[in-house]
Amino acid sequence: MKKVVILGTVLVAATAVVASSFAQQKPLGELVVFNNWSSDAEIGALNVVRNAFQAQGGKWTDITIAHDTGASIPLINMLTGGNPPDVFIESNAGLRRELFKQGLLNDFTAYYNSLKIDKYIPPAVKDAMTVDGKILSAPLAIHIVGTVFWNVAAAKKAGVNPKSWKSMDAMFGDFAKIRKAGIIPLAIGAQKWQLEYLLGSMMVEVSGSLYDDICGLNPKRASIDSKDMRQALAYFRRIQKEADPGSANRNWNDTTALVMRGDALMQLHGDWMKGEFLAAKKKLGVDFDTMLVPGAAGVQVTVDEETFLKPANETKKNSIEALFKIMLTKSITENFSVIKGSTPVRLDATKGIDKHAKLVLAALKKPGFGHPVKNITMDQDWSGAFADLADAFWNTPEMTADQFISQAQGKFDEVFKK
Amino acid sequence: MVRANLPAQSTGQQSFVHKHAATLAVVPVLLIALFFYFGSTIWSVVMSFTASKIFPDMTFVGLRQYARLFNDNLWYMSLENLALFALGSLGSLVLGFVLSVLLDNNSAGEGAFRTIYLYPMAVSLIITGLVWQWLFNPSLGLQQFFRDLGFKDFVFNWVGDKNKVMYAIILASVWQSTGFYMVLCSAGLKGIDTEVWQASRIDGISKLRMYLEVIIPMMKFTFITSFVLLSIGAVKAYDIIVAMTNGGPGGHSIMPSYYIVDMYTNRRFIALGAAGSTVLLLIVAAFFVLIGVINYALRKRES
Repeated sequence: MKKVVILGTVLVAATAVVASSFAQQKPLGELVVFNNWSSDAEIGALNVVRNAFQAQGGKWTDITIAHDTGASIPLINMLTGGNPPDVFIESNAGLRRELFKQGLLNDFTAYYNSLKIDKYIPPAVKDAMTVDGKILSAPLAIHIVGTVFWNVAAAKKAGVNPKSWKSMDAMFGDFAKIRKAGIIPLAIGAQKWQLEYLLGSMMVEVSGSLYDDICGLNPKRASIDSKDMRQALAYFRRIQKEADPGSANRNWNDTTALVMRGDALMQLHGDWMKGEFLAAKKKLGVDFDTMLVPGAAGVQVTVDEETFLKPANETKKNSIEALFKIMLTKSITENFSVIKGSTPVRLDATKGIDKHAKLVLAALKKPGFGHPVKNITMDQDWSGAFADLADAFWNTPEMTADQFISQAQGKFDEVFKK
Repeated sequence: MVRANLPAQSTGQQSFVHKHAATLAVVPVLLIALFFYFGSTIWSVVMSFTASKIFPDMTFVGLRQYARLFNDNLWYMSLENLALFALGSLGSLVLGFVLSVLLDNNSAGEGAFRTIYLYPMAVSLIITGLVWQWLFNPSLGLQQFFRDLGFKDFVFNWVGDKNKVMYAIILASVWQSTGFYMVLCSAGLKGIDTEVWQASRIDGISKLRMYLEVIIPMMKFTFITSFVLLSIGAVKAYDIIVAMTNGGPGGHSIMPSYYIVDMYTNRRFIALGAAGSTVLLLIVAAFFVLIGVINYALRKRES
């Protein structure tokens, strides 16, 4: 009898253990995941997440529609058509704000806090995940804008050391010397979207709060007419004056090719340039090198994010929470970044990452240094109007900072008029 | 015979079907057209009076979006570019006509030449745009080619020059469509009675004078058709802009249709895009009324 009782107790205990382990491993269901990634590196990286999700028993169904310049028309159609995917790649906070208002999105704030990983997440990434104080998305990858990649051999030929530049003026000071060596000092691809990023880089170069005030989720009109904005415009104008005649309408990767060939010393753009160098079998630290813009007060951070639909049932809820957690897991984000060529989304994820990714993580550790890029935070109408102005300013050498500022104020009023 | 095989029906029904067979056959298409074309058009016009941004929003804001539209430099630039592009595309009609005359007078190899001139038409506008973009690209295209040949100061960077970019786009589009207008004009020329030419020979009128004073006026309806097609092409011009410049540099090659699509998609601003399309619709409608009136007047005079 005693034996039976003991056996019974053991069995009950064992069942409880099994049950509790099952409780931790809640059953997962199917998630329909919308993506616009198409390159080998992007898909390879995404498969890291997908495999981890499937290993936990989830079912992952893809809908992939390749890059459509960020417009996400198919996604919007699926959302308005009443047949939305469970998870979709979308970084724009304005859209998430709108969808959350309509009750379509899941709020991860409590779940995120329960994971206790806050200290590992760079503030800029957390800002990108957050809309009006609520965490509505999970980050996949970081790229930063406002990096300089240069050709090491060309620097040697021109007799300059980019790392010695502590300010924009010091950089401009060496341009004559670089030109003398027959090299374009700073190669720019002057297409509108690249100019948008460039002006943004000059704004964070001067002041992080200027950038947030103009490109943030809640913009402030007063900052448009400020000393800092004028300084940013002055740098932007100087770069335009120094640009080579071929820069107009040039693609970013054609511009990178100029640097690789040594026709130009360097490029100031997003750090996805790294992929071009690596694809051409160039070695980081040997053939080309990397740094932040000299004297930068901050960097613009682009974060690829997945946004999750409000779950219809418990299984869906478990599934999206599992996926959310996977995306923020150290080993996953490390592997993901190595394949995509991006930077991990956790400050402690340093295994196997290259020199540039380390540089980025070090920069993002500094409080207030990283700022979610305008594509994430800025109202799209305001963002488009601002980009039009940046484009017009660059292409109209006689346009003054005063004209830029008064036109920007006019656009601001039009966009935010109630 | 067919009638004999039909199942027995009341004669009333039969005659109804027979009388209206053509109309009945058209009804489904007509309904689809009404619903999708006119329905969507009306929907766009309605949207232009609302505050819709990412999603449709029925808050009525009157003419606010139109005020914004006409306060936007880019919109004015796009309208100017439309006018320039429309004028420039006349080049394909002029060239097409000249080519058709040359072919008409030189029958040796006519077929081969016609194929060669018509060939660009077989290439999509996006490919045409891309190829011309490469040709204009200062580091890949003609500029580099001539520099490599030793002409160090050769400059041919129209796509990157805000004052010349529209001419680059017009050049590419003329290159693409000339062959088509050549074929249209050839058909027009073939339709002219040979007696006209015999009469001119008897009267000893020079060929040039014949073309200028007799043939061209006789081909006026071919030209009207061409004007209509050219203007549709100009209003629709979008793909070639995307392939060649994306509206750059500095918006100097933006066209209304590009502006509108950009508003709808990248800017996620439905109402402003709708306001732009409504204005474009009015411009097109006005133009077609004009063409219609001219056409009517010409035909009336003819009869």
